[in-house]
Amino acid sequence: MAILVNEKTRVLVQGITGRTGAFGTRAMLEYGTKVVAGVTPGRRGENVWGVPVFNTVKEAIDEVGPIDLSVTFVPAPQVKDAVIEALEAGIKTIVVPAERVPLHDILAMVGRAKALNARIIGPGSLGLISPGKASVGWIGGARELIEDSFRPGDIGVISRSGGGVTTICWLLSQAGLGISTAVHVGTEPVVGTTGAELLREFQKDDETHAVVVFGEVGGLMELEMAEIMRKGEYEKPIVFYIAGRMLPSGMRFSHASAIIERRSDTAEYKEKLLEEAGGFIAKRPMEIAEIVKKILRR
Amino acid sequence: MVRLYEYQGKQILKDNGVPVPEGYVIFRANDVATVLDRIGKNVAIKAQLLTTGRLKAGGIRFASSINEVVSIVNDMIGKEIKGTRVDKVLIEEKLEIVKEFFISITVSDSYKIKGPIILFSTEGGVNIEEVAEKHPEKILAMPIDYLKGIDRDDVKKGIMRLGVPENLAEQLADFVAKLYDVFKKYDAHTVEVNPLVLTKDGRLLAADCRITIDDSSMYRHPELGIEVPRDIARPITEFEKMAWKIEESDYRGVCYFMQFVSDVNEIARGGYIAFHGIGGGACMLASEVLLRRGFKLATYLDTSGNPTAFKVYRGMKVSLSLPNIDGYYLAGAVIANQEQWYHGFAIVKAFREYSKYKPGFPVVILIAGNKEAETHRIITEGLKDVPLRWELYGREKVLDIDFITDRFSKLVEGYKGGDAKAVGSVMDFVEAKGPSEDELRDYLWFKTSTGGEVYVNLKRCVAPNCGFACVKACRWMGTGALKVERGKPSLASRDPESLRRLCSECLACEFYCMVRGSNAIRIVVPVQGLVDVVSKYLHLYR
Repeated sequence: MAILVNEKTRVLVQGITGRTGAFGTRAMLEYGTKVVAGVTPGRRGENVWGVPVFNTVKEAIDEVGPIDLSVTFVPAPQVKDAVIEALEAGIKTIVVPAERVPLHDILAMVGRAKALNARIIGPGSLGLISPGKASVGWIGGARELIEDSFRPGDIGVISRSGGGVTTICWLLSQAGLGISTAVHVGTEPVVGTTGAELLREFQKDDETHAVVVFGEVGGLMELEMAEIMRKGEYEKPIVFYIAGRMLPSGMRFSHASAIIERRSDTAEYKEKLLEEAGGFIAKRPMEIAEIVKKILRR
Repeated sequence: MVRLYEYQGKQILKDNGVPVPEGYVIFRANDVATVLDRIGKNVAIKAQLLTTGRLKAGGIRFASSINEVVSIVNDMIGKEIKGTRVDKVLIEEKLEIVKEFFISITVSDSYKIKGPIILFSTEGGVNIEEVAEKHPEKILAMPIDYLKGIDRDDVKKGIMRLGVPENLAEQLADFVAKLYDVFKKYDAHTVEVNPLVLTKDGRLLAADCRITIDDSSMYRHPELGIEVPRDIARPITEFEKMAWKIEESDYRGVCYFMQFVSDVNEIARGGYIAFHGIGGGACMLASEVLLRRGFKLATYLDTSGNPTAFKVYRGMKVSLSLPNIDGYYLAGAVIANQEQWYHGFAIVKAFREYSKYKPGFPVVILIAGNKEAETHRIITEGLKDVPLRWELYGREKVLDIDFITDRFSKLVEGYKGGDAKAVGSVMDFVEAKGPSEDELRDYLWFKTSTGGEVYVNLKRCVAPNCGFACVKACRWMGTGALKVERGKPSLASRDPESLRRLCSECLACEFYCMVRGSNAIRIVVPVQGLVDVVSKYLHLYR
């Protein structure tokens, strides 16, 4: 089953004729993702790796039929308009790789998605992958790395770091485990889909038997995951690694969301809360696979 | 988020119709008299800092005579409060306060909100988190639908529920609405007024304010005159300013540089290392191990999101230019998704150049993920025979940071116990020089889009014997600025503008000419401002 994306998901690429758009499209097609159309205003009639290009999202849907998910390879200053166009055309899942998107643009996008009962992954998300089924966005890069790092299986992965998502999946794959779906939530101060919401999805997914989370200092994400666990909305085994222990406060560490301003932002506080809520803590990433194996008795 | 000083925030409030106390910023006690002439002798003197909690630390004091004010100002300026040296104070009319409130408009990343939230409390002037713990009933928390905006009537009713009389609640709701306008207009993350005061003469004033602006929106707000939109709770250093210029002038990928230790004099005392990660996750993973093991980090550099080789090289050059560092720790501590060979070229160039200034310098490099094998080949070939203590690791050690750190310790020990000595001047490393005017006629050359210069020494060039290594590399890794013409490398266009577009600043031609050809290509990648800043501290380098 996996969550959010599978072999049947019909994918649109906005900004398909740009350098990154064309590159991403090729990688997705090679992986077997069902990319059915692309959009670049004014470029109707062209095709990119065989995918037909249209001027607008609506036009694309009229021509190729319903679309489940759009990935927007559009630069940060323009991405709000692209996302809102896709939302208003009725697409329910939008993946946004752009980083450094103006905060109030994010609020407008996320607000619109909420009103239309749709979901945004990102901004600042590398994408997501359901191994053996489909990959959306940038995840994994070259083919050999994808094969090595993303074996199909029953572990869900949630990460706040782009490198983190591939690293966790690689670790699990090397240890003989596999992944149901891996999601990079994005690096921005507000993201469309948080860890708490993804945990609810993984709870519903029959193919997912455990979840691994790459967390960071700063922000509410891990604290709210603990809340979801305490409420019993997520009950499967879960392992956390929180990056950024010992870092000084008052400085931002690359990701806009990774800054320690209060006690609850620290790795130590988050670990304590998550442990109390029934989560397992890996103090070092190397321990993750071992802990998962122990819990699942494999 | 970019933090504004209190006085900057108050200027914004004032410009947008929010009442603030009368006050002026001064940088020296000489200006006290002029200020007191305008606002009277009963004043508050407030140190301008980017951190909170200055009241307890002595950063706010009161006075009622000119001599007193002068002596307080003299005392405050130059003093260190909460880790930063005070260089300006705000002098304001002293307020006769009847009641203090707390008001904040901020963005919540909670999955239940993902938008603006208004926090209001009848307990102002104190730490709001303490109020939230002890008296949650005294706090109004009201999420706002970003698309609809604020409903003044809802805010008024909310405030009345905290026991505020209708008339005052009405005025407070007005105040909140004005702050919300500021929040939207300036792309703010937070607009906080604590305390918002009601004075004896019936005025509502923002007695203090803390505004943070979203750094990704800074390009929309040139009027704010923010030089370096980085989230650091202290003034930006000269090296950080320089690094920001690298970031700002090139949108391809990230080059995020900051100093763990802001004082260059302290770094110069020795015992510090330069830290460089690839990607935010990798940086955090590795730096926490280093800190746990007691290493003193001078810098934090993150190059990720597929930056060009030039951008990586420039970031490294800024880091390496700090005085008297004992080693370089380059941690690609995750399985990276980006194409890493551009890192490979930058690493080779930066360390080859640095090795001439500091032979024996210790370096560990961890690079794993996409294009790992290719990148390792580039580094191994490029640093072969270079007099550095360098070691390179890949995915087999990607999470064994303790091992990498052990190796690094050994290399640093060897360096410090042995030949730790600079050769010549740091300026030889810092200055990027091309051929002289006289020599230029032997060269083929052009300028790149970020001010770099590519020189091909045709006298030295051995093409076609090298198989046109530079042209092949340019086609394969770059975007085709070089071509073959009459048996020699040549430029793909005569038009300088087209060449700027055609060169993707990947450094591949220089590298492959070095390893396959005759080392006839020299690429000059200047870092704007580096020469000036390093010259200033030249006495510190040993």
